[in-house]
Amino acid sequence: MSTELIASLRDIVGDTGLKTGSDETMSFLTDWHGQYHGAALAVVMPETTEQVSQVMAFAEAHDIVVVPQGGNTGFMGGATPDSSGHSIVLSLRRMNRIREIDPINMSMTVEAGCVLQTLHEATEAEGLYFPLNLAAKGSCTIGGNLGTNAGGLNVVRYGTTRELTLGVEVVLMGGRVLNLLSGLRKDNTGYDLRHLFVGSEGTLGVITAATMKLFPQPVARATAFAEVRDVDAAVQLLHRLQAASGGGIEAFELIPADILHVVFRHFPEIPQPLATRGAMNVLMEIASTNPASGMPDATGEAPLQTIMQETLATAFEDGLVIDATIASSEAQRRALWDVREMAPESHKRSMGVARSDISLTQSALAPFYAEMVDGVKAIDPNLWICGYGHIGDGNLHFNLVADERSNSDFAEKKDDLYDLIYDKVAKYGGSISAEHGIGQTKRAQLAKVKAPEILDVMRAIKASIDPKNLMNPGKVI
Amino acid sequence: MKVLVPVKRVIDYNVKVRVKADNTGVELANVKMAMNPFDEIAVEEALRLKESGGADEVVAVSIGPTQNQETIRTALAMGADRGIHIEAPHEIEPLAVAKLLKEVVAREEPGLVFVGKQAIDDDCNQTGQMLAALLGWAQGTFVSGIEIKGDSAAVIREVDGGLEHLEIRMPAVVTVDLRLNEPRYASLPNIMKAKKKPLDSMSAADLGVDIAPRLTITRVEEPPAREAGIKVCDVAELVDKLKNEAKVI
Repeated sequence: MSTELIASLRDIVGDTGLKTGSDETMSFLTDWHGQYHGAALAVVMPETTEQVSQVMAFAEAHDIVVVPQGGNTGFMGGATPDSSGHSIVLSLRRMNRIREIDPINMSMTVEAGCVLQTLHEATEAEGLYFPLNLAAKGSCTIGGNLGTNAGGLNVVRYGTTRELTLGVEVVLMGGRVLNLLSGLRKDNTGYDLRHLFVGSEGTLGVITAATMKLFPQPVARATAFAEVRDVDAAVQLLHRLQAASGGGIEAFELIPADILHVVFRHFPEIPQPLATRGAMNVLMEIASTNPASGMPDATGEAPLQTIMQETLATAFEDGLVIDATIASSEAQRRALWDVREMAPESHKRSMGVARSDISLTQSALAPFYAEMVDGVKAIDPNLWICGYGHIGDGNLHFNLVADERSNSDFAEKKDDLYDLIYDKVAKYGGSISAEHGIGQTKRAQLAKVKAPEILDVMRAIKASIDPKNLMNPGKVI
Repeated sequence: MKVLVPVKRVIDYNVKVRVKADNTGVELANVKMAMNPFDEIAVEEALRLKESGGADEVVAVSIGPTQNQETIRTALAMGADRGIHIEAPHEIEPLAVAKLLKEVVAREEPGLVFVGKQAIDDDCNQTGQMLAALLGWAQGTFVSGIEIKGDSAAVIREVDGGLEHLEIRMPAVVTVDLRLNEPRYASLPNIMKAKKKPLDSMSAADLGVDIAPRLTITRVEEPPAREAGIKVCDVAELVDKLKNEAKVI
């Protein structure tokens, strides 16, 4: 039976588009963190929307579950099939054409398998900027970014993937193609279906292409690392800098002392930004598309540097900022960013970590943080409390890292730690998943925190588009 | 003792350098500039000497257009005490720079001049040596370690064969190499203080130095683009290509 199915799939996508041997398929069946190991009839890699449509028609006819996959860099197991071996993984990696870059409309239409970094390079070559930026940019695909509504470092200025999306092309189970591609900024003609598919994690259909917004390329930057009084001071500084720079904040990241400890322990070669290691810190960057902002003016300083200096100086006088440094060269800027960018890798090298990806309103950040520190210390005073991340958009990766200082029963404490995190998130009206999605990891948690009537509507939508429940079942809802 | 640190404003070393369309030089318009990284190391070493009690004043000097004041401010923000800006065109040859610095030395009477071993834009590696010769001072070049011992300084030079330990007479010109130290970040209080530190401006003419270029640049070209690699099918093909095309085996 399965041999016939595979033969039919081979007829659609050809030899090069089909992988069945376990050596070939292994990397598609294990997730990024190696926590899920699935099985599949085959990994199917179509090259065109037409082939996707044929695969989806075939899948419906034979009741085959389809698990769409991009760069397979997700954290929630959303692209890993179950272990039954009856599903197919539909990898979009071979659909990697840039269909159009339109500099007049400031948009591009690209296929789902385009690697994010390739899009950065292609748009930069046209003098344009695609601002979606995350650590996995060298491997993740735009299709995966769309499926999970990825966030990343620049959300504070440009919004999430959803906000960058003008249109999508989607293939539904059964093979119908919804051409929702459009370069329009305004279009109020009925339900805006593109937003249904962005962030649906492959449970409604397969996104095969999208039209994305482009921006002018920022050419001048000012980057600073500051020790702040506390989380509240960080939030105040965020608003001051936003006002002073005319909304020019490109990134604003919270970095507590514990994360510095973990990062410098594993990467001692990174230079220390400040003379002493402060309890709470912020890495911030403002950017401008005007080259003159980065060149010295009559005062001898670049205007962007002046904005950064003056904002920090006033905050220093007001007691919000305790110490700070501003990068005076690109080398210094990169060294400051290394402190932030090495955080995930430093966690990987630690003995144990409880990860989370939460978001809160700006007003809830400070009280939430304070209660979390107390709560974690009550569970285990020896954990490194690494609540860091994109507070410019209210997103924290509140991670708890264990090393040899911590007690050996960290694994047993993980449940208590997650309960604590999700209790506090609920108390402050936050989200249990800011940018990583739900996948299989947080499915049970989602069912706990979402109101039943909201889940009902989600299930009704799913049932109307995918009545046989063949699109990535067991994920999200 | 006073330490003089000449600092050059160059294209930021992380920026891709582009040749002007007419091949007369390198494109500088709207290009991010920064302090020559070797000079940054020189500033750091001067500051460390001061902090350890071996010097009492650090003076940063830069030669170039008005924008060079930003580079001096960077040195002041790191901790230098005052700055001197000598107005001149961006393109100025090492001999003219050395002559200008000689005049600054005559006025300031420092006990040491710390300077980067070379600037990363023209890679001349001449200014420090020329300055020492014009002054008749001792010189320690490519220095990766230094210890002041009264009237002399023990320096470690990075040479092709290894490390050379020299003792040189003071006053001296010391050109610093990459491994001497790791320059600090400027702290916010120091960045603010730097705005109030004295910065004197003067022209080359004020110092009585002729800075007219003695060299003519005839043409500047991009290096040839690197060819894309290829995939070989098997070892035999690889060996064949290494033998007959690359001619390395």
